[in-house]
Amino acid sequence: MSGIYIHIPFCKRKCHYCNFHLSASMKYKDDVVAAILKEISLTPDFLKGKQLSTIYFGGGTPSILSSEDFALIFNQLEAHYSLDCLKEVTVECNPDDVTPDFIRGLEGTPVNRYSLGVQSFYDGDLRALNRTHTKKQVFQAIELIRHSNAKSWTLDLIYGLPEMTMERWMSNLQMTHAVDAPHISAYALTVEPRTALYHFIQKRQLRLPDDGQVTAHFDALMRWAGERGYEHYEISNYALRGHRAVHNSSYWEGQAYLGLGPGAHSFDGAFIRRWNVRNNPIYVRKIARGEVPYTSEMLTPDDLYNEYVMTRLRLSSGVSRMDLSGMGERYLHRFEEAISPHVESTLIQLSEGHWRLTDAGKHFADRIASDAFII
Amino acid sequence: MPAMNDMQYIRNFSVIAHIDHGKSTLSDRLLEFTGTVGQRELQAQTLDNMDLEREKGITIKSHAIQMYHQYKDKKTYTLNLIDTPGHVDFSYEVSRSIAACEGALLLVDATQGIQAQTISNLYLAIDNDLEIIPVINKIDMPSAMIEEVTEQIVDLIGCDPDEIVHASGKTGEGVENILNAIIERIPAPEGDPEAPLQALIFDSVFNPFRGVIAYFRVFNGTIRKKQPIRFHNTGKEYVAEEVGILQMDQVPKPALSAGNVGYVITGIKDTREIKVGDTITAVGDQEAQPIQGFEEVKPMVFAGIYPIDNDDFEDLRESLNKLQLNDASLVFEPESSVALGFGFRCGFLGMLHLEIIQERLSREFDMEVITTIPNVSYQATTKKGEFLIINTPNDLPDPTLLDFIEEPYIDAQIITKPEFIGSIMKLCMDKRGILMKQVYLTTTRVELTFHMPLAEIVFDFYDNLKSISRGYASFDYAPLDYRRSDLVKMDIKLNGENVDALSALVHRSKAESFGRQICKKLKELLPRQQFVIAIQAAIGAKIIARETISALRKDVTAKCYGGDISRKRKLLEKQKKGKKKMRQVGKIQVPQKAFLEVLKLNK
Repeated sequence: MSGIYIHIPFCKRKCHYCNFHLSASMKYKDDVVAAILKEISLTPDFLKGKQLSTIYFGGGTPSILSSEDFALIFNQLEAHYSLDCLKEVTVECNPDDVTPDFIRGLEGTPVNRYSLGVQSFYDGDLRALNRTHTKKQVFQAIELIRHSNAKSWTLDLIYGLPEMTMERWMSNLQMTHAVDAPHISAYALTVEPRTALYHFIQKRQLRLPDDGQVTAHFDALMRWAGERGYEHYEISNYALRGHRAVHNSSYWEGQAYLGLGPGAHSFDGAFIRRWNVRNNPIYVRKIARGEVPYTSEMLTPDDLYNEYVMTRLRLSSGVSRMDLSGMGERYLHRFEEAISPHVESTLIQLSEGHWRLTDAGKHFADRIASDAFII
Repeated sequence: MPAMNDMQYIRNFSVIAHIDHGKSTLSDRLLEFTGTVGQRELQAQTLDNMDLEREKGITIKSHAIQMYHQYKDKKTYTLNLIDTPGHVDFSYEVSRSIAACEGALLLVDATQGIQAQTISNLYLAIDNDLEIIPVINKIDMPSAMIEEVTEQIVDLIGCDPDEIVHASGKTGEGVENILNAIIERIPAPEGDPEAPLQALIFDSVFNPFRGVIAYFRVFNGTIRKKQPIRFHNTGKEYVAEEVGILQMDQVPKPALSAGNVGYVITGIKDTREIKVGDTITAVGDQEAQPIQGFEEVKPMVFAGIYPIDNDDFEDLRESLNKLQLNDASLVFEPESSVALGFGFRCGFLGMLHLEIIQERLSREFDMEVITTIPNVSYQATTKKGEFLIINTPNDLPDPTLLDFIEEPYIDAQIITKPEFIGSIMKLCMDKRGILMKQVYLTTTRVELTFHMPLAEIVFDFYDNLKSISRGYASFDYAPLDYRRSDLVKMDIKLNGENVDALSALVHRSKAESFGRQICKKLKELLPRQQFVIAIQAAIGAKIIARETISALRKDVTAKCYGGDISRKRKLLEKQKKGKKKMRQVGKIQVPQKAFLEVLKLNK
């Protein structure tokens, strides 16, 4: 099993919480698409011998691509890979891009899943985040997707937003229920330095809920999702039966993926990670010369252990005792020793050979993972 | 270049300057101009050869280097530059270096003018009858205020404006004039090469291959290779295995006579046997006289140093042993703490010295340590009449058994501008100082003399003084005596548990405000944990201050964008590294830095 990630580094405008260096100008769009086509032809060996199961268009904003762009990319992929066994092909979309024409343009392509960047069902929130869409457009987009031939779809939500009350958050969840979302990704807002949002908060033009309130949002979400039959299979991801994200799961389960486009990350499924240069013009220029501009790192056994602990602790399947002893008894011992205080305070539990975070432990996933790190 | 062997062709000088006034750069120019060192070898600022010195921009150890300059009279002169440390912690070393010279360059930055820090060393030099050559440096800068600075210098040392040399360490302008002035104005050393040997040790360094190397200035007589020598104050005798002069490397010579500066190697492996200020004399010379001014350097400040990981205790001992080899002023003995396990009680010359040792342990030995609250050395007398030396708060007997405690006082000199007198007086009074004297040195310079408890200057005095005087106050002190004092032991509790490493001896009148400040500072320094932390200050059973740190509610970040696992892994690695620098006290993680930072109350 393996996957391909295609990064489309353009946005119509920058969200206030975004610290990505991405371009709000479409100047290089055609050049980048052409370069991605060429990169496909330069890198077929990376996933050699592994069946291609997933493709994921992420960004940036992949929904700014035209149906012609998608057709070109799929044709090029077909020339180098067998697309017969694809299970999941996802496109991230901004709700305002999802028009009848857009959906029609993708019918007949392998795309079978949409990921909708809703973030909130409230126009006030959307304006505060500088999103390009409105609540009305969200409902229109969902309507179109539900009537398309996609097998599944998902929406993104953010909690802990400026001025967000528990009522507001619960009503976002009720809307999500009302539209029958089969999958949800929900994140606590992270205010990164050097973002517009950071600036507004510093200047006290916006006020964030305190940690206690954000924690309460997360607890309410977990309770709500459980009651409605969602499986909390990754710390930020909830799925109805049969709707887990296959491509994203490959990141967390250590499978191979090839990233195409500026800034895209790849993993060979064993011990090499690499990432393309983020800068659009440099990427375009180097690819034109037949060279993929990437940096790579070779993971040591300790790095592999750290990554395993970091990603698996976030999954409902948890950290497997057998996997750890497969890496070496030293890793198993190290892990057991490091988490013992957290076992004591019931942030993590061992059952049937797997350590899993409890709901209380999910609030401290980073801390627990880094406690178990070896450096 | 063959130098003239006659004493009249030798000049010994040091450079007095404020930090950043370009001492090191100008010294480099002198070395370059005289061909002592080629431009290629010149690692920026040759004289400060510890990395730490280069970074802090200060000279910690003294250094000496010899150069040659051909003067207008076609004679080649030997010039010995003796560089001096630039901090009050090392004022004794400064005084010995100055005692080894006949003259000094007073280096003043043309853009900044005379800074107070320069003044106490300048007076030290004047007290030692050194010839002062004023130099205005950085004249190439657009913001140079040459006229104004000239006036300041004339005002301060009463020289003629024509006597001031203008120079630029950057462009090299004026360097030759400086060399000529050294030859013309600084007197040649006096002394009798045939008289009994008398050489002043002004510094020593440790070389892992050669042992301890002592730097000296010969005042009388001649020191020869293979000669049996005696260190007057320690009474120990050795053989001068090698003597020589100091250039970029050591250059062995058969003999060095009166007026010269050089080094001697005797095979000594322990720097503690060589004391700065001691006099080298000849073995068998019953009449030998020491050079005046020797003092045993005593540690002024004590603190516990503990390994982060208890298993590293023996490694720490080994590292301290090695540090002591080239820093004889460091003393230590094992101690233990409930909170921190096994470590060492160490004695230092002052707070900067403490910071330097901690930094060197980290850099040179990869040894991360925890330093406890520093304290001075107290003397306690019990009701039974026992006399105890208290170097750590935990040694203090129960108050009911105590008759009285005495604390060390210092004689402190502060030189400043008249406009700062008020605020400096207030600061010193707040620190329990007693004003002894107020003397106007010039119309714009006043000297204040205080008797103060040493303990009061250990923590934040120096930083406070600098900020209230906008850097325009020099500070110097000497130990005075011990005086009775009303001291109490203040404990810090985290969630009810005593953290012995944070205990401190404080004056009763200060206990409450000190306790409040420490609790507040700890609140800033302790990271939030998954439970509430109560920080309390207590005297005996009485709580005098309290702060609370609320519990950490969450520590989890969002997704890994587009499979960027590396970024998140690195973020958590960083988090883990931070935790490695923490020490578990009960259930609470305390950052290593907290133990020292807690005292920087005003930052």
